[in-house]
Amino acid sequence: MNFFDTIFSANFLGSVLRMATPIIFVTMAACIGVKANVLCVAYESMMLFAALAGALGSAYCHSWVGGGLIGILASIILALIFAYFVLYLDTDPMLTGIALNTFGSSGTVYLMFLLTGSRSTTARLSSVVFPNLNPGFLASIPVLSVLFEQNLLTYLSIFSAIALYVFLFKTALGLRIRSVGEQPLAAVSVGINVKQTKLEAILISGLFAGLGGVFMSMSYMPYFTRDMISGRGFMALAAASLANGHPMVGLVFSLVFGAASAFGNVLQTLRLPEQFASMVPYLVTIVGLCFMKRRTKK
Amino acid sequence: MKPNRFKATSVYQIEKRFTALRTLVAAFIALVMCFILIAINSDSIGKDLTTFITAPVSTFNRFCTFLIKLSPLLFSSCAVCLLLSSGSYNFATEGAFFIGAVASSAVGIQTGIPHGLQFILMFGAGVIAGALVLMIPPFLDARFGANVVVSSLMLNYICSNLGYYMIRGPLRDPSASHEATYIIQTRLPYFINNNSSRVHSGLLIGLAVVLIFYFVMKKTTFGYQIRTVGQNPNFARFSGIDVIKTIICTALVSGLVAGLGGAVEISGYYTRLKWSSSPGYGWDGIMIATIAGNNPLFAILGSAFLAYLRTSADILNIKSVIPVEIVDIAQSVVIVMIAAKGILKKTENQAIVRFSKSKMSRKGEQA
Repeated sequence: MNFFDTIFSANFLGSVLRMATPIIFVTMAACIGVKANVLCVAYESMMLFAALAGALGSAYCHSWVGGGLIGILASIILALIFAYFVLYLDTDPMLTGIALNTFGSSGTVYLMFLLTGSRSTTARLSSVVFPNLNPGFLASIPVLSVLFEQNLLTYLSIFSAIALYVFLFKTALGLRIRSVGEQPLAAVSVGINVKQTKLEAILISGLFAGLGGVFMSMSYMPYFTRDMISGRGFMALAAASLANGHPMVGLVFSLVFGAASAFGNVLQTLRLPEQFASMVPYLVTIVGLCFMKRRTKK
Repeated sequence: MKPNRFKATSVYQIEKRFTALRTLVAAFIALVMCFILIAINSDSIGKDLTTFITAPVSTFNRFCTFLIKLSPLLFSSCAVCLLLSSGSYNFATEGAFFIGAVASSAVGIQTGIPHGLQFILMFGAGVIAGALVLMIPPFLDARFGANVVVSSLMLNYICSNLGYYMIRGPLRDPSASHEATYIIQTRLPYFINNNSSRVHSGLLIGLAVVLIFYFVMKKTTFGYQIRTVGQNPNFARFSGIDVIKTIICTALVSGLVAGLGGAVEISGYYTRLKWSSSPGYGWDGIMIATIAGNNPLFAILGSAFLAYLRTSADILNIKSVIPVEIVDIAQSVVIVMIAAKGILKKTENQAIVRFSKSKMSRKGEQA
């Protein structure tokens, strides 16, 4: 197949959206982290636990709603652990994040082994996935119809960027979160409880990271495999720090990283070694980091 | 009044003691965690727990396994100790170790080079590759202001993919039954070699490296610069230390150590390089350096602790169904517990207050 035909096709657009969805969710989580000035790198583990809990939960409840809720709950619990250690036990946030990521990668494997007897996937369970949208009459539109037949969560992810923008910039809690992040002393002086506000911010982050994780095991793939997040949490962290915590800009960067991942997949079909294809999104992230910070520094 | 040897003589000493106490508590909790995780999974709890506690020292052969597992940890933990001492959250040690191993096996599989020369070339290749990898994040930070944490984590993924490519592509031996490189021609000599129990001399090199860097950190100007930059970059800047240069030099040196670790592991333990996932020594290094408070000497103890747990878990995994991941779980718990300054903080503060009060009242008596 011709390279350019592949890139400029409806399928490619669809795969960009699919690759970007988890990154968008977690970028939103990381945006809150940036705005509240909480250095959290534990999104990877939140996503992993959400993905596992989602796959297990949906197999147990036989419904995607139940699975999704259980997955999100798992992620919020992880966020709570992170918040407790960082805010109340005065632990270095960086080390806590790294440790939680190790915990996420090993803990999910242990839990999966305990509950299903397998150490690599939950493919044997009959998990339920999130449904795709039914395009209805819109399916007849030529190229753009692909925009109307995506997964439910893909739309939710784009909606969540808008919702987060409104939340951060138009609500009282959003204002408090931003003030705590920007100038905690000033926030204290007007009677804001800094720790509690940061706790709320981290828990909301957990919610978004959970949605990203649930997407991985209940839509991107129909089951959980070990270490299936493979750096998406970190990519989101990069996207959020490039956007300086602004949800809409973060959305754009997540789409760029999603496009890079999809582009990597295309390269793979063109007989480029698989490993180089997998490198593309990480390389784009590093290049992005270099390129953007230089501009904002001045 | 008889002088009490255990009585603290300064606030600093009290703080130090509480740090040590926290470390011990954390290690203890890690063990308890392992016990619980084993107990959940086990059919014969008593037997499995005994295996877990005593396995590595129960036979000579297993003890050798423990020593072999200890060797790479010494290198990676030493590298991380240096990096974290300089206050740079550069987590690319994992990638540096991997690429060091790949580079040295690329040299090691060449035939027709005299053994002595090949050794030097292998180690040289590993060391240079490791240093190059670890220098990238601080360089990008200095040049472009790219966040070190994120760029180093991304770099790990790039390195591991590059490594897999080399193993499955140019270096692959098509006649091997699985995906692996050609056979490494030159091998490190064994320092324990009776019958089936062999330990390569990488362990000795590792110990030597750790001791050298303990000396460098404590007794040389360079070590002092690293620690100053790590503790207070502003103070370092005002006292005329080039902070950026120090951080990049530290990354260079610890890259040398990590790359050397990769080269030693390849020429000592493996006949072919066949990693299908990143070996994880970089992450282990972070955990050990945290336990050791970035002190290379304590890193030996930390590495021994982790290697012991790993060996136990491996043996347990063979003998019963318990997954080796329990060690990683315990490991993450340990990192968090040690880093949690809030644990025992109240008791520590009380001790400091009591001490300061008694000191003040003594001063009052003298005056």
